[in-house]
Amino acid sequence: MKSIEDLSDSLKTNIASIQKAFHSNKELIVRTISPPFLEVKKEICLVYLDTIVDKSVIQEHILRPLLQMKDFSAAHPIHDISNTIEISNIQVILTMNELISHLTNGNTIILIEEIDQCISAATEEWKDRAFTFPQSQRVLKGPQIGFTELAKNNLSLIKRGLKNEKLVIEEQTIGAETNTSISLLYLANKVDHEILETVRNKVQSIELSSILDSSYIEESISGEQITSFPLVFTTERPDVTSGHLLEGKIAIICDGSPNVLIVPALFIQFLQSPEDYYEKPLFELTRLIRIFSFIVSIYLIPFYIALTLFHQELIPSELLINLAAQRQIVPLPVVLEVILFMLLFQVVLESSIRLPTGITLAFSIIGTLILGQSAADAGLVQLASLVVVSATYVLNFAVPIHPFANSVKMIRFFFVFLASVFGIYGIMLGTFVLVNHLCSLNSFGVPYLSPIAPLKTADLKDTLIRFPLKKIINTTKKYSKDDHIKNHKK
Amino acid sequence: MKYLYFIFIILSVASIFFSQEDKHELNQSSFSFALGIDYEKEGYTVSLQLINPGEISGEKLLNNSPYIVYKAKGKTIDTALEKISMNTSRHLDLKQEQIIVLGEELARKGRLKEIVEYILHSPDIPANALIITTKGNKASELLKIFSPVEGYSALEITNTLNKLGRHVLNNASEIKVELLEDGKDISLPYIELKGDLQKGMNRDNLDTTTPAHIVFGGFGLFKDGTLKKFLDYRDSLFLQLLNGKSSGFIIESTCPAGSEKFAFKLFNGAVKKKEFKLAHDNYSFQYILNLSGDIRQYNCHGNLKDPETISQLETQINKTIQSKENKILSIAQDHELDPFGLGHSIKSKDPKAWRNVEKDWSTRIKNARLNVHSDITIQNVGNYKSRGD
Repeated sequence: MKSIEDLSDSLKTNIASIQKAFHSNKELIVRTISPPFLEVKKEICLVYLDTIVDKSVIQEHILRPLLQMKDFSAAHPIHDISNTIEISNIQVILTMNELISHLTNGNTIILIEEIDQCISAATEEWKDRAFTFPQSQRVLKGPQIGFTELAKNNLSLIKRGLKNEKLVIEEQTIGAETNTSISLLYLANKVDHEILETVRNKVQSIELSSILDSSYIEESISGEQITSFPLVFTTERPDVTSGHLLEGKIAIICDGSPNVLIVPALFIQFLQSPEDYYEKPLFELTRLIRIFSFIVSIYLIPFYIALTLFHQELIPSELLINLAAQRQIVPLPVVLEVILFMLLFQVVLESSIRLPTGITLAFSIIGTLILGQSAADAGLVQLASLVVVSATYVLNFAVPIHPFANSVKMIRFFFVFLASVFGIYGIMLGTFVLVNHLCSLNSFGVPYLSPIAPLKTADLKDTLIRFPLKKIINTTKKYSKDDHIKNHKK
Repeated sequence: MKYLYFIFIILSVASIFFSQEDKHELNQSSFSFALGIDYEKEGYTVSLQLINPGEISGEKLLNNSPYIVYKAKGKTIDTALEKISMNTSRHLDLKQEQIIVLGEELARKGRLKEIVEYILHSPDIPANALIITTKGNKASELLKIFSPVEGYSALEITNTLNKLGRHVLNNASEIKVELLEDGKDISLPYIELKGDLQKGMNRDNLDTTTPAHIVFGGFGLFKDGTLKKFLDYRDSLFLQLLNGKSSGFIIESTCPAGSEKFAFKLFNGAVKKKEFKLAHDNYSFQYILNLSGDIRQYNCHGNLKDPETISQLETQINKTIQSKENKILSIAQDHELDPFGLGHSIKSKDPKAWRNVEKDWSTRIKNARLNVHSDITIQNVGNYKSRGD
């Protein structure tokens, strides 16, 4: 960085160095005016970047007052100018570095001849889309608004839901190239300061030069734990963010991303949906159904393989006859068949996301009807395998948080492999490793499986089944930090 | 954490020593649901009913039979099975065996024990397969019958028997337990063929409205693993009633007045109390049963509204049960059998007395007497309220 030096008192030098810093970009607008001052004659220069400023604000509230300004004393020029322009948020800037940063953030810089200070007025106008419903976390009942790419909007949405003076917002800029603004949000009275310190340190020590999405931060702060499970919770919903903040968690908002990160994240939270809190408690078993389908989605295919290959005596006779009859006419072994179809399903899912909406309908007909049904009709695959594989993916869709649903993708292949080599013994072996792996994970010092392991009976009220709100809302959850893990990490 | 992965690796490596013979694609194995064993002078004739899944489930490849019965002789069951295995293109999967049919001759020659031991010993044949015997035909013949309702006879036989209630039936481990127990003789269900054997073994059997088919005949009474006597199915039901294993059946009794009949449909029957008395060196056994059921066909003239009539009916039912049980007892006494487990009830209540009578129990039982009293609850008398002509 060349331009750390202070501003010079020569207007020309300053403008030259700004232009040099921006490589004479045409976006950089420099407007020099000579206001009709009565006492002295001084030039004033407005500098801003086109397309990210609100020009009408500059015209109405900066340019016009300045051009009509008469009283100007050389004794306190900054004060006079500040009193003239009609912008609420202004700042006095001393260094070139700061000046450039303000320019890139959409502020208008007012330079005055023979003065080595300048005024930065907030005139930014960022292009943004309208608020829509959250794409990845839709609900039937409850708030329908989702975050957008503009951090200011997102902060405003959270503040609307959480009108509380204890809500702290720590803003900082990271990424040398992109200068992305990152905000840490927490409730000062509820947050665990140890975790907060860890998060702060991790965010500050991010060494990426560019940050284009919150997932960059997610990856950087997740640490060195090798796992496919997400250790950071992402959401597009203001109500979910507020809920987590009230539980004493920390939200990280990254400008340019509609996904807000929440830490620490627990395993069970990925299976909870905001609707759980908006529907009637206890009798609403959707959360249990979600957990059940998540588990079954891992085990269905491996058990199908283990039973048909190794433990045929466990299949009821009538079903066995049917399965054996289907198997008589297909060419591939059951494992290959299943793996091929799992891959195919992944491809179908992958391409259906990318395709233009117009083609999606045609694609789903080809993908599902023709590929699935006809493959079975043509005797290429067993119908039962098809049913099992598609049931797995349908069950997997019941998981409300997409990255979490994705995390078991590879685990499923691992289980299929174990089942095909070792049968049910292999499935048990895989479960052993999987459960141990989950137990070893921690999200910012909080064990991933808590409150189930280690068991926190008080927190179980909102784990598998949601208890009535009055039992869970007014008591704060205590996230047990695992000392063993922390010591181990050191 | 690392040591866990270490354990995982060790466990995975350990499984190399597992038998990979267990792994078979479904189209590499031939499944059998019924196994028949017949008497042979030295050894056995084993018949294995291998199913043809495509034919049974309707996904036909060729228009072939739903099942094939392979037969082989051997001095041991295993050699016979091996012979069958050599003759087929696929791996034999016996783990789905549901019934094991013992030929009548084999049962009469007292070979039940060794079969039970074999089944318990064999890792391939499930120990919970039902063991039944045949009457009149060889096991291999009955397995060849085309079964018109269920499609294949193993399932048809199993379903026919399962209707009786699961606990009435016996599998190898239960028989083993009963063989070890003193004071009770085994009774096993038997099946027989209704219709012509040759006709039944022909595929045309599936196309006719009066097919030859397999029926549940009743229970065969065994003494020390040797078949002694067949009971018909009505007697068998009354036998099971006293053994406390009864599911519902019809008890037909004579009206309190006149010779007309009425039917009592029994729903639940349980033995409430079982006692014995020793009088003049003769044992008499007292059973108290709790029965509940409905009055069905009613040809009598008593008004069912009248509690008096109901109690008369109950007396009649009681009498019928008593006479039926006496009939079974006398059959058993003729063959020196104890299918009710009378000796067992002495043994459990008075082990000392049992030790004295144990040796000559089979002769002593000839003097035993049976006294059955039933507490009957009639739940529903049907729409006969006005009948009182």
